[in-house]
Amino acid sequence: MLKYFIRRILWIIPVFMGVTLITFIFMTILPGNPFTSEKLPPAAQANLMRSYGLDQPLYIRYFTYMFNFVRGDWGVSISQQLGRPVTTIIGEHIGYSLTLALIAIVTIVIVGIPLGIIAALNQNKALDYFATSFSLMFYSIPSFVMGILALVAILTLNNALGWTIPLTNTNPTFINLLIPGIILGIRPASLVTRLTRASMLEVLGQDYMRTAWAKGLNQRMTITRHALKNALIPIVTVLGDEFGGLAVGSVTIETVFAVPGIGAYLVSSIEARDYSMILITTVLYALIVVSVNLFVDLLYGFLDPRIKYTTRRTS
Amino acid sequence: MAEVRTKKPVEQEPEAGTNGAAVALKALGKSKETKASSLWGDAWKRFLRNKLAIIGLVIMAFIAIPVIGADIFQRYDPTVSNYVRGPGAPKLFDQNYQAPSENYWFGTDGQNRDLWARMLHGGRNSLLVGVVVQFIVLGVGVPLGLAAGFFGGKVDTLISFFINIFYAFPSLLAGLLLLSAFGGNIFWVFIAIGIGLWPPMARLVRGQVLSLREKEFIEAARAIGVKSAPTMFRHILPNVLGPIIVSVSFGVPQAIQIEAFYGFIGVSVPPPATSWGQLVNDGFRAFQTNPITILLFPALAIALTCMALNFIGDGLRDGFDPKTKNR
Repeated sequence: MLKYFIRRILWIIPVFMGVTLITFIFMTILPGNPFTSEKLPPAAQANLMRSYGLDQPLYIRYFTYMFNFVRGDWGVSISQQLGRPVTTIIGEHIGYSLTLALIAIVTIVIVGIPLGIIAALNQNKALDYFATSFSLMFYSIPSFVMGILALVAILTLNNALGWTIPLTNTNPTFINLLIPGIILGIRPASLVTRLTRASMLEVLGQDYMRTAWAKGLNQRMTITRHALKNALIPIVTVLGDEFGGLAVGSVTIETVFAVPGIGAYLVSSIEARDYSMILITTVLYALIVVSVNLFVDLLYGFLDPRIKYTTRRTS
Repeated sequence: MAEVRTKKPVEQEPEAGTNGAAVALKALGKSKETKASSLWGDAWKRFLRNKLAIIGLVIMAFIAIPVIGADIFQRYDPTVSNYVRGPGAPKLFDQNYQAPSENYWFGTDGQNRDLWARMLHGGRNSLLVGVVVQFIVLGVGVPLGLAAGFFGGKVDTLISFFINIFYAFPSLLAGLLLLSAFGGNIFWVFIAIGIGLWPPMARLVRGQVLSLREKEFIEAARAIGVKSAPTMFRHILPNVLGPIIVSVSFGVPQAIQIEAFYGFIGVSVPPPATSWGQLVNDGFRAFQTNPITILLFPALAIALTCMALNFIGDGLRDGFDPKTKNR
């Protein structure tokens, strides 16, 4: 098992290298350079390019970047906040994105899972149809459209009725981020509702559930200790997958609600051709996805002791 | 189909696989006298049992017909500002952002262009992206997944490596970079969205093939000396078709959503062409001082279309994949 995980962790290295290489290729084909926006004469632009090593061929820049990355030198912003280390900028913005993701996950757990359990326990009754139809409906609406509709509703309420529902500003607090975070969580939550329902239904039909009921355990014990514990196993994988989606999905929500998070900053980095910012954000996203996957696999083995990590399956 | 045939040699479906709907309808009609049921017939029956899927089909028909026939259903040119200048012109016609009226069913936009016509033509681009992207996903994901699962070994390692990299790569970012580099052409919108959607398809097909490869009927095919290409295309691929169809049906609304987002941040199809996402963007910039319909109509169009398509996808999963009612 240890061997399996060492292998999985080592696997991160080529993925990291591949992701960086693709980003480099993409950036090379981007027209313009970080300094075109400033009204500089071409000669001065060329000078700036040289001073940041951007006149070098692709492979040299790539290996220089790799070398520096390993040394812990992740570069400085070359456009928007010229000269500031990317890590500082990331640090300033990542808090908002993480808060959004956290609120979203809490939404998923406290709305999605209970709703799925309720639907499963009331299979084919009104409550079940209600939960499944609504979850499919909410799953279908893109989060940015949902965000826009919510924004319109909030503005209307604030204007017409004089309410003061907090909206985001340049320096949002937790309260400001609450609504965007919940909206970010609605879509995955409805997915989790459907999954929990399906998974619970499967577990509820198992022999050990009949045994649990037969030996007279109370309903609460039976459902939480026997059914839910087993039903959660497949949900964990999807939650892991969704977390990667949350990181990316936050780009859309951040744009709509003008939250100064990583996602919104990334969009402006691309517009400004801020190469080092683009790189570090890509790497960050990729590392989040890969490590969440790894974590989920670990958790999977913990939740389901029958799984043995001997053969390498889809990683 | 291959598997079905081996199971029930009695059934006769001469054109099986050529025209799913026709065969399905035929199977439905016959079901009273004979008990024969094909994969497609069963799927269609199970699909019809899903009420939401039927609702989805109806909604999609209402959306797709005017959108596809945009040139017939439009009342004004979507790209022309409807300014009527001159002494006798009514004042109303000079105004931007008109509210919905008899002349302009959906109102007009910031350049006094008819929003109804723009919605139709924008919808055509949105739906086009949704469908064409699926061909990219099928064209890249299926062969790669098939090859990885079937051949295994080094081929699998290499392909899985690529799948893993693109899986980890934030697809929205890849699309944004591509569109910033090559924007101005709907072709690149297809590519930019397809690049993020093929890895899950490849993964799905690979997984399916891996488990199918060990099945008895493949072993039998190998035993009687069927070569690898026919085995792959005649015996394995038809059996992966169900999950592929389901995945594609969910892929269409997914692609429409992604395009809508690219449109919203302004990197999708170039003006004067438009898409629902771009119309949302136009409306989002102006809705606070103008009729809210300019934002609501495109936003609701995206939501309703994706909802209907997901309902259909859900029905198709009931049809083709009755065992896994996940998601």
